[in-house]
Amino acid sequence: MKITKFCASIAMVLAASSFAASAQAAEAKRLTGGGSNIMYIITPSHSNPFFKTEAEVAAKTAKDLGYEVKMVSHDDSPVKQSELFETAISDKAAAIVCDNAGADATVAAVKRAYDNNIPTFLIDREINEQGIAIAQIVANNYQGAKGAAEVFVEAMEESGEYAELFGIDSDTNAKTRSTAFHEVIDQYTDMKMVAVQTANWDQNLAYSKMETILQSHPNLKGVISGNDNMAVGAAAAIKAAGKTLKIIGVDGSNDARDEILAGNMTATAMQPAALIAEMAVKQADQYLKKGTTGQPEKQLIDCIIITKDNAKKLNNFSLAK
Amino acid sequence: MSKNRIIAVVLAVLFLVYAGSTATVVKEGQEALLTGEKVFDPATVAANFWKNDSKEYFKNNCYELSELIKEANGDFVSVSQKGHYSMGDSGELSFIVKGSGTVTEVKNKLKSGYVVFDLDNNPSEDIKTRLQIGPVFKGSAVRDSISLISYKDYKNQIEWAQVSVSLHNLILNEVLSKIDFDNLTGKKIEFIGCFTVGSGDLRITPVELTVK
Repeated sequence: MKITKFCASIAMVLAASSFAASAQAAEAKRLTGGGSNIMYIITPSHSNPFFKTEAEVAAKTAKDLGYEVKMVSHDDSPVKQSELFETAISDKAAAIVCDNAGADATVAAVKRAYDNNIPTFLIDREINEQGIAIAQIVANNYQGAKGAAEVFVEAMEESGEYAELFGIDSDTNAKTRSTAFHEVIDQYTDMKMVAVQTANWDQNLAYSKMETILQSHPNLKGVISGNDNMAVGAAAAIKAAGKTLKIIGVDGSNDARDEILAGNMTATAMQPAALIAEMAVKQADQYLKKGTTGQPEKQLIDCIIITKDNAKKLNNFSLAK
Repeated sequence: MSKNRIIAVVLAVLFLVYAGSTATVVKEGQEALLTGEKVFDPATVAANFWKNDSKEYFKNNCYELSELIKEANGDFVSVSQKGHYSMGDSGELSFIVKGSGTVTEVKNKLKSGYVVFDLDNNPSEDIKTRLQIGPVFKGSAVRDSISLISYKDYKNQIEWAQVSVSLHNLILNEVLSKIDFDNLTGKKIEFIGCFTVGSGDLRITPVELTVK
């Protein structure tokens, strides 16, 4: 009798430990989709041509592969993004392709999809967690911004006053790009940053902020901008003030291309938005069919530096050979 | 002592022995080993590589630059199996190379300083070669040439970039600070270094540099 009790307690301990071990092994489960044939494409507002291009290319690729597509925008609001993920879950989405609204804020939404058997494929911006999204395909913003900054410093002849236009604070790319700009520029002691303003990635806001900066800093020689929208807005304000300054952006939009060709902007870094969107949808399709994308979760795609030398070849976020 | 008590004590002792043998004691500051959450320090990653692996790694994976130029015949992508792509099988292409030459020009007053040199046995008149000497280094050819260091091990692009910054700092302090750049013009040099394929001059970041 006593011996049986003893055996039973040993057995319980063993059972508990093997349960713990199996819980760990279950981490890399295969997600098969919510059950419908709908692919959700969630991006920031299409008022920025970059997001418009990536959403449209993703939608076209998904349709060509036979998916029904729902294209929606979270307008850079994490709250709205969570709601859109919930809608996708209740629509039993097959997969979600998302350009997300914040590296930390998005983790919970992607986890919700994961728990509901829906795989998420992140494009353009990464999140601060691995193992819940199937892929994070991201333009190498750091490399792109650093490359643009190298051109900027040369154009400025390594000295002078400059201003910075910063993107939306919560957006990872705003910080990444700014950090990369400063890795280069801050090593030049004769380069002096005299103003930094948040212009929320927005062209009109950048225009008005630039007007104010120009009034208080008449000796301004250059502007570094977190994206092309703001760079183009700044270029317009500078032109209206009758000046020509050295301006760099990041994105590689057609508007920036035209400003570079007209001599109003110095450089930008083209993010291969079309390529990234297409890759994400194709990997989603492959994952749903085969259970693997054949790629690591985190995939970094290099940007291409655009100056007056190659700007002519740029169109809709891809460069002609 | 009753039989029941003895059994209870035996069970308690067995449990303690079991707990003692399976529990993991985590020392303060070592939690990361257990949780996998790394306290990130790019300087340590770079310094460890530099101290433990770099000499052997660069020596074993480098190609004679003049021969590589000859083999590539104007198209480095055609010899990509000797290099390393920044992203699996695409992205920017970087190579580790060695060579020797004669210095013709030194731009050490610039922040992004460089040394122009005539590469010995250079088979191509079109290819001009320079060594980056900092303190500002363009690109991230050294980090991107090392297959032991991978983006997927890092939380985000900023951490990934810091690895490159740390490597450049090591190069600056341990390789370049010993060189007398003011008197380098006309001298023979030998180097091992890394470059990323791009337009313009071949821009090599040295990881070893000797003046003859």
